[in-house]
Amino acid sequence: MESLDTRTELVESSPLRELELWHEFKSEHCLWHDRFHSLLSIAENPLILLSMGGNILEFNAGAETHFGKMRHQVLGRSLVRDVIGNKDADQSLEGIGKFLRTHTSWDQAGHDPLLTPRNRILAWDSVQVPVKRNEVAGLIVYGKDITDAQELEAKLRRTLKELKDEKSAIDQAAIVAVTDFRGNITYANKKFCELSKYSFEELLGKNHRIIKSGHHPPSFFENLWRTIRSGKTWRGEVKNKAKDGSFYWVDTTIVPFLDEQGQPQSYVSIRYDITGRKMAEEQIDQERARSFYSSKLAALGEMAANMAHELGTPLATIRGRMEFLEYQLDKDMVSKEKVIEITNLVREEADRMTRIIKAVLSSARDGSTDPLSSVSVTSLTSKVSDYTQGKLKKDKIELRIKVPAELNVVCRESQMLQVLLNLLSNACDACLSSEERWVEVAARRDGEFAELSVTDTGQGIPAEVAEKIMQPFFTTKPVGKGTGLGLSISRSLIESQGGTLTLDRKSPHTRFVLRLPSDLSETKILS
Amino acid sequence: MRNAVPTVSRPRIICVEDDDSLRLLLTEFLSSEGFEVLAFGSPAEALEHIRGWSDHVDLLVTDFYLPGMTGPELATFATGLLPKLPVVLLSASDERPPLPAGHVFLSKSAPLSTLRSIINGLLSRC
Repeated sequence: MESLDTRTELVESSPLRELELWHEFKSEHCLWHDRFHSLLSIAENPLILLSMGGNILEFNAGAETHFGKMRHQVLGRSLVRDVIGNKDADQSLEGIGKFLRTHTSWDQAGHDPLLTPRNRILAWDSVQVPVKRNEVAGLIVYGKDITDAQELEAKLRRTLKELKDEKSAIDQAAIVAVTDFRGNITYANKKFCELSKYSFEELLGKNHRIIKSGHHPPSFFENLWRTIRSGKTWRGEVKNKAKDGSFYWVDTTIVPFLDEQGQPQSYVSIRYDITGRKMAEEQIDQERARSFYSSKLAALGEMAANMAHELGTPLATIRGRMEFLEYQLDKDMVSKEKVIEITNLVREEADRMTRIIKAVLSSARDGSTDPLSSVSVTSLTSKVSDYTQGKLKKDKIELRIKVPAELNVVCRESQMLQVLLNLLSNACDACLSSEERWVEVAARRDGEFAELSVTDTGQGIPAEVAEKIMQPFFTTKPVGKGTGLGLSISRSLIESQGGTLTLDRKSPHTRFVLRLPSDLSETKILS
Repeated sequence: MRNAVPTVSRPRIICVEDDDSLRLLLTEFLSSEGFEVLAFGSPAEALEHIRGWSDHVDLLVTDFYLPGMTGPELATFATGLLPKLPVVLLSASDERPPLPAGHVFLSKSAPLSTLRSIINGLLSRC
C-alpha cells in the first residue's frame, strides 16, 4: 500500500542528520534564520518546517496549539507518526509522502484537509525550501484552520438549497413577482406570466400598473401603498386585467423587503388565483340580488291580492251604506241621528282603508338604508297578521299570536316585516299537508334581546334538511314554487340588523327563532 | 222602519259575514227589505242554527272567505241539510269557483239593489 510505503520512507530517513544539517544552515545563514524565526512566531496558523525525510525541523506556536505538543517535544520527530498520529493521518499526508518521494510540488500532488487531535480541520499547503544548496531541501508546511469556514460554508449551502427548494415550491404553487420600491417589475415567475398573458420580457421593468383592472377605487391602492411603504405586509383580494383584456382575481400578499435603514427597497408579492371562487361569488351575489328582487315582487303580489281583499270589504260597506242612506232619505225614512250614525260608520271604514294602504306602502318600500329604530313587537305582528289574513282564511290556518304588549325590538321595520312575512308564508305552506293547521307567532324578552318565533304544525324538518336549510338555493318546494333563497335572504336581513335567525332543532314543531336587541340605547352603546 | 209584512210570512235569511261593519249593514238593509235576518260572524254557529231550525230557513247569504270554513263549504253543508236552500255567495275578490244550481255569486262591490233583486229572484223560484 502506498500509504504504508510513504510512512516507511519517512521513518527510514535519518532525523538526527537532518537536524544537524538544519543547525549548520541556521548558523551559516543567521540573518535569514532570524527573519524566518520571527515569521514563525507571529503566524497564528500552524507552520512547520519539515526535512526531506518528513521530520520536524521547526514547529511554531500555532502548531503547538493545534497539535497539543510543544516544540521541544517534536523537533526531529516524524510529523506523520509522532505528531498527527491519528487514524486519518495515512490518507491526509499522502500528499506529503508523494512530495517527499517525487520532489514535485505538494499542490500538484493534491492534498486533503487534515483533522487535528483537537478535532479542528486544517487545510494544508506547502512551499519548498532549499535548506542547503541543492543538498538538502526542506518543506514549509503551513495549515489553516478552516473548521469555522467549512461549517459556515455547509450552512450557507444548506440555506441556499432550502431557499432554492422553497422558491421552487412557491413558484410551483403561487404567482410571484418582485418590484422595486417604485413598483417596477424586476421579477415575475412563470405562473405570473401565464395568468397575466404577458411574457417575462414584456413585464420586466414595467410598472405593476400594467395589470391594473380599474375595478378597485383609488383609495384601495392608496391604502395598499401606505401599508407596504411603512414596511408592513399587505394582504387582500385584487382584480387584475390580463394582456388580452380578460380579468382575473388574485389573493395577494405583498411583503416589503427593507434595506439597512429600514426603508423598503423591493416588494415581493405572492398571489393565488381565486378567479373561479370570485366568479362563483359574483354569480351568487347577482342571483341573490335578482331573487331578492323577485321575492320582493312575489311578496308584493301576494300583498296586493291581500290588499284588494282587505280593502274590498270596507269598500263594500261604504258603498252599501251610501246606497242604503240614499234609499232611506228618498223614502224619508231616516232621522238626523241615524244619518250622523251612518256617516260615523262610513268614516271608520274609510280610516280602516287608510290604515291598510299605509301598512302596505310601508312594507313595500326599500328600507335597507333606514336607521335602526325601536319598534313594538305587537305592531309588527298585527301588521303581519293583517297582510296574511286572506291566505290564512283561504287555507284554513289558525294564527296564534302570543306577544307581550310591552316588548320592543330594534330593527328596520320594513325588513323585519319582510322576514316575518316570509317565515309566516313558509309556515302556512308547511301546514297545508297537516290535519291540524295553526301557525304561532310568539315573542318574549331574553335579557337584552327580544326573541321572536314562528312555529307551524307542518311535518317538521328532517335533520339532513335542517343542516342546509339556510343555504342559498336550497329548497324543498317543487320546481317553480320556491327560489330557495327566502331563508338565506331573511337570515342576511336579520344579520344586517345585528340579530340572528336560527332553526330550533329541539322543538317538536318546525320553529324558527329570531333574536334581535330589544332596546335602542343598548344598541347605540354596542355600535 | 220595517215594511208592514206580517211576521209569520217574512222569509228568513241566514247571513254569515265575519266583518262586523258589513254584517251590520247587511242585517239592517235586509231587515228593511222585509226579511227576517239572523246574522252570524262564524260559519260554525250558522251551521249549528240551520241544523236546529231547518224548517225556518229560506235563504243563505254568506261571505266567501270565513274563519274555519269557506262560504262554498258552508253552502255544501247547509244544502246537505236543506237540499233546496238558495245561496248567495259574497266575495271581495273576483275568484269564481264553479257553483251548483241555486247558488249565486255576487261581488261585494255590487250595489245593494242587485243583492235585493237576486234574493227576490231566488225566493220567487222556491
